[in-house]
Order: sequence, then structure tokens, then C-alpha cells
Amino acid sequence: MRALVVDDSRSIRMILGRQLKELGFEISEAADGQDALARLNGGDVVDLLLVDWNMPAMNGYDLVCAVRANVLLAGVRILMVTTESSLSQVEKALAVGADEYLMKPFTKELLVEKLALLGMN
Amino acid sequence: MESRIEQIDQFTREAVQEVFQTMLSMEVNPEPPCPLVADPEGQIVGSVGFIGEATGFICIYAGVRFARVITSRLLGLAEKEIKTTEMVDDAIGELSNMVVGNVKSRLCDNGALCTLTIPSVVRGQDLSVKGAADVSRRTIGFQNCEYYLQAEIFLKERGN
Repeated sequence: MRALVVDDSRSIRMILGRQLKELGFEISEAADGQDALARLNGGDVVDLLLVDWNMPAMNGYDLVCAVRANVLLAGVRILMVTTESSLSQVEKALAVGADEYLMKPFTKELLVEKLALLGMN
Repeated sequence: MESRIEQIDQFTREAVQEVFQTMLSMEVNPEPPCPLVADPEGQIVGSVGFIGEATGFICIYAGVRFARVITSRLLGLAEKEIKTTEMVDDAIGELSNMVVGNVKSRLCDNGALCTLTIPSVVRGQDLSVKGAADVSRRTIGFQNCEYYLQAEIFLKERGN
């Protein structure tokens, strides 16, 4: 399976990338929503998007809206991975099409649990 | 009734401990603040603000040596693999973001809606931050064996 990690923090891209590789994923990275959307519209095929909320250029919420507006990307599962963990923010992300929500700080075990909920274990 | 600054003080203590435990498998214990021990390599400060019904910012101070240990633990790399200051700066920025994001989410869940600013990181010697006159300020120390970390909260007074 292929995953695109979208986060402006290089540290988080490294952490998630390492954990997902250990779980058998092929990884690509984007530093913001605009970069991610360009990759997806340019033909990058991914099964899973891991999306931070607060990013420059295009934030995670807008990226989720853009992906869900594109029928060609309907099969992509979206996991928000963010410090934005207030109940209202979680509900807002799920309402526009995020499939699951992983709150920072997180462990690999929590990531595995969320992937299982997405049927990706 | 608990004041807003007392509430944020408590949220910050819990958030720092949770982030260090979860992301670094490292215990840090709150203690009364003390002067930062001079690190010959200097200090690094990560700062993230929150704006809304509660407005302010929180700074996380560490010596550069401890910041390199934090980066190594966060990224799962040996210290010798931490080759650039950018890796340390990014790690401290993200760590600060997680701490303040955690505080911000608890504020929102307690009715004080606010948004986060992007993290900023500053390096130097004997760094300190001064707040304006209408700012409440709290300092919390955290200890892990020989390492010391400090969180400083600046909260704008309501009505100003």
C-alpha cells in the first residue's frame, strides 16, 4: 500500500514515514496541502493520506475538502494526524470527509489501531 | 474558581509530561523554576501562540545539548546522526507545537475557543522573553536526570 504523509514538520514526516515503512507501506511526502494536491492531481497514486491540520500554503482541512471534491480520489482513505484535537475540530474534519483522526502526541500502537479501523492493517 | 492562567499552567504541566512520555519515552517532572544552567552550546526556544478567547503564547526553553537528546529520541536516531541544526530546530518546533496544541485543545473543550500560530524557534545565549505590561506570566521547570527544561506562559489579560 502507498501512503502520502502531508506535514510541514520534517520531524513528523520522518517519524510517520519510518513507522509506516515498518508496517509495509511505500511512502511519499509533501510539506503542505498544495504540494500534496499537486502530487495527487499529477498522477501520484496513493491509498492513504496522513494529513496535518496547520500547514502553510494549504491547510489540512482545505486539502481534505479538495480531495473529497475529486471523484477520481474517492478511494483514498484520509487519516488526520494533528495537534488540533478539540472535539469541534475533530467533528469538522470528519464532516468534510476525513476517515479517522490521530491526535499528536501519538505512539506507533495508536497509529496501528487507527490503520486497523481503516482496514489497512 | 480557577483563573485562566492557573488553568493554562495546569494544562501545560500535563501537556509537557504527556508529550515527553508519548513521543520520547522520557519522564520529565515539574518542579519550581530555577535559572537555566548555562549550556556552552547555547539555548534553544520553541514558541507557539494561541489567539481567540484566550490569547497568549508558550515558550519551551532547553539547552542545545538537551535539545539534541530530544531530537534523537523523537526521530529514533543516534545523536551522531543529528547532523544539522535544522533537524534540532524542526524537532523543538514540533515538540512545542504538540505541547501548545494540547493546551489549546483543552482550552477549546473548556469553552475558550482559540487558534494556534505556527511554531517559531530561536537560538542564542541567555535568552529571555519580556511580556507587555498587560500580560500574566508563569514559569514551570521540568527535570529529567541531568537535564532541565522550562516552559513559560504569557497570557494577555482580558479587556486590554
